[in-house]
Amino acid sequence: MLLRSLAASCLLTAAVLASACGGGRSGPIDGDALVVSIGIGEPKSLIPSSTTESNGSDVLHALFTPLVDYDDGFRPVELAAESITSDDNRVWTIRLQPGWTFHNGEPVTADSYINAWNAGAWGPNAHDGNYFFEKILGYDDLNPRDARAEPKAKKLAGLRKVDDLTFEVTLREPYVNFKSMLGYTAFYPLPLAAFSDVDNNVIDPRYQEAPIGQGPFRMKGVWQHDQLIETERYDAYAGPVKPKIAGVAFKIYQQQTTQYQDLLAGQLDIVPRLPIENIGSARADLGDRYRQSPASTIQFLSFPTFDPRFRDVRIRRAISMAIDRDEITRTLFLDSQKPLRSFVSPVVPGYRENTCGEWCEFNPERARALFEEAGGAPAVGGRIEIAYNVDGGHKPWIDATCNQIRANLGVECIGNPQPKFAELLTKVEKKEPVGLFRMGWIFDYPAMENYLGPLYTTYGSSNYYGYSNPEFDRLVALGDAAATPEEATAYYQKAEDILARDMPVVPLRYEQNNFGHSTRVRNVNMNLFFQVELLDLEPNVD
Amino acid sequence: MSRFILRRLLQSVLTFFGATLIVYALMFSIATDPLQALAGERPLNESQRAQLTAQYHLDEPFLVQYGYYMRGLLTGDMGRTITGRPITDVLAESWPRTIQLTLITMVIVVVVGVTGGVIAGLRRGGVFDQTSLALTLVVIGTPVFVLGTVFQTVFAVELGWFRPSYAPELGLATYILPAIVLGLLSLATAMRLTRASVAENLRADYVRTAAAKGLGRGRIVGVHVLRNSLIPVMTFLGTELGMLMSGAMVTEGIFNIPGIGGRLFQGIRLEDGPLVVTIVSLMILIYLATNLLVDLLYAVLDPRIRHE
Repeated sequence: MLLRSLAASCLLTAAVLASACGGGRSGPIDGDALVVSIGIGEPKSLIPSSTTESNGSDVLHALFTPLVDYDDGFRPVELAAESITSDDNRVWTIRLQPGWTFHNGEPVTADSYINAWNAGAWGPNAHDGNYFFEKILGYDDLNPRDARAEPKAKKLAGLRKVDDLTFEVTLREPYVNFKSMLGYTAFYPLPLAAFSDVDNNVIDPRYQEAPIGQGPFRMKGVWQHDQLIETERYDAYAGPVKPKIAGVAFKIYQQQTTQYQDLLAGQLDIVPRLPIENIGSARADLGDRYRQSPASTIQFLSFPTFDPRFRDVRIRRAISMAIDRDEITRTLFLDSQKPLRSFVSPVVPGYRENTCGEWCEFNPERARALFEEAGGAPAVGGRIEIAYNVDGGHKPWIDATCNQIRANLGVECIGNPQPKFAELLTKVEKKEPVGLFRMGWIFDYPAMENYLGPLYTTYGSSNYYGYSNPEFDRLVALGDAAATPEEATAYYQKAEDILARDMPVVPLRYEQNNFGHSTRVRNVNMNLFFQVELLDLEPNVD
Repeated sequence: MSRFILRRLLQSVLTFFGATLIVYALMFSIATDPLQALAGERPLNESQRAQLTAQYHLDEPFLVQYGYYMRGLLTGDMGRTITGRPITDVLAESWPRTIQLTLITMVIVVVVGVTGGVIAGLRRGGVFDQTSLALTLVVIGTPVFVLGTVFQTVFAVELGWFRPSYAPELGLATYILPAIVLGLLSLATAMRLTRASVAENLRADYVRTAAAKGLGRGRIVGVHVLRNSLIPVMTFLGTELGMLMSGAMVTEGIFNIPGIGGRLFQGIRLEDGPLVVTIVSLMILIYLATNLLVDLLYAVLDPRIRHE
């Protein structure tokens, strides 16, 4: 009975309003009342300095406004800050705009930033964004090597309050891209209400259940785990652009494919990350409401340097030339990703197209000749293996890549599946011969250095393959210490040229934000951090 | 009777401890690096790794870790998930949803399955029997995630009769479509089982006797046949309740119901030992309890069965 009446009432609704079944979707669209729903996964945390994944950062983007935003050339411009300046790129002076308040009425001051950053850098808090503060003077004193030891200091020596709206940040070494870093979630301020003991950097565990920020939207109720996070417009928001909608509801999903079903049924407004399964039908289902914008993620294959089979650069180049990137992105990824022929993504200042040059052009004859010249199949032990993690949906393109290598180089090529990326890394660290292995990289802030440093310098945090070239390290260091961003870019580009010669990795693709939206909203855009630009959103009135 | 129950309860305690130990050992042996699993492909910062390892005792040997877990459990503190939430909170939120879903499923299975089975059994070879046979075969042969996605697309997205995903504002109605999907397989089995059982009992001697005594058909079927036919069905349904709870993982995922299945899946993916062990242990307890209940119900249905 219940079922029948439910079905009947839904049919009626559908007939009258030409909309799908369910509450909250009827009536004319009034801009001031429009609450836009966005699909996300369950965030890991909602404390800014511990939020490095996209679900949490989507929510925090509604609740907070960063110090800087980025222009069309991906260069930082002041947003919540009045000015961010430095004479030597080591001591940075940050002046805040006056008049900003947190959602609980507390004014935003220099202390709001200093307290938040100290808590983020405080080792015992074990925040995910802890590493963002490494460059600030005094970081080591807060992060002892032995986790059971008491840290030497409670506060970062490099943070100094000048007056209520000004503070100084002293870095360990000059770093030209520091201003670019400040757009990241880890650098958001925190109100005093967030702390249970501000002197000891203790954040109240209840804070993240209803975070208080200084952004365009504030929490409405608390975080309903695995279900919903609701926000509403904050009327005292001090930013230059005001929200044009009444609020944002983040609906939490276990599977991205369910988000898409909800979008089609009119129960969800924005799917920020369309899964590959839905992209084929999205073009037909959504038309121009299926959208793309560049993202920072790059995908590549890396050669472990401890594996003698890949020691000859000719072998590495031959493999790269044997891969038809265009074919794979078109047929397997349905253009949801784009071919990459450089070592950084296109969304950083200083990116140049095709720095890899001829070695990344698809050229099977040349690849075969080069491969044979370097010893052919026996030189790589009779076969090439590509290791990947099976939980990331990588199998189809790894298989396709292997098929191309097999066909074009005449050598057996097989995928080497690993249950998780963590397991793959453990094997690489033990120097087990897993073969080539796949990697992806998402930047933390738009700077060439954020690819070159962690991925290719000798002590880079994600240089699992062990690439080391002293000249490259020197050029990156010179870039970091350069006086101006332009000068830095020149050094970084020289460094990238070395990568094209040494070929420690095979660049394959850079990703796109693939997103879809309902007919109720328009002007839906996504930024470089995979976040929906909430201040752009407008009700679709026609 | 009470001695029987007492003995079974004592057995349950032993089973519970044995099961937690085994599940904990399994989780421990598959875990390569829970912290890296949590961080995904991002490198884990040294300071953070050291801190979390110490907090979660990840560098201690297996028995010590199990000891910490058991000590917490026995003092009522289930610990925290690896993402930092108290496990008690997680369970308190998600269990009721899974239980609601399972109970609604059970109602559908019993009502539709048993009724359908009785009708098919009474009119063997008829149109209803033939159609239901064909349909149940299709259902038994289809994986649940296929059924789930097809039902979601057809009945929720295309026809708009239901919501594609969990909507708490609809109350229990939100569970109907997922419950149908989850219950279809059990329903098909229950129906086949009831049909076979009814058909067999209809030919039993006591039915002929009852008919010879001049009892009405309604009374013969309703009291004599049904009661005897339900014993195998009860056994099946009892074990099925536990199956449904663990099987809800797939259905909950498709329909986005924030129940226990999703938490278990997440726990396994993140190698979160304490969370997985707690959920699995609770499932074992429920399984034990329903089995005890089924055994007691036997005695009610069939006076010849006695528990000493």
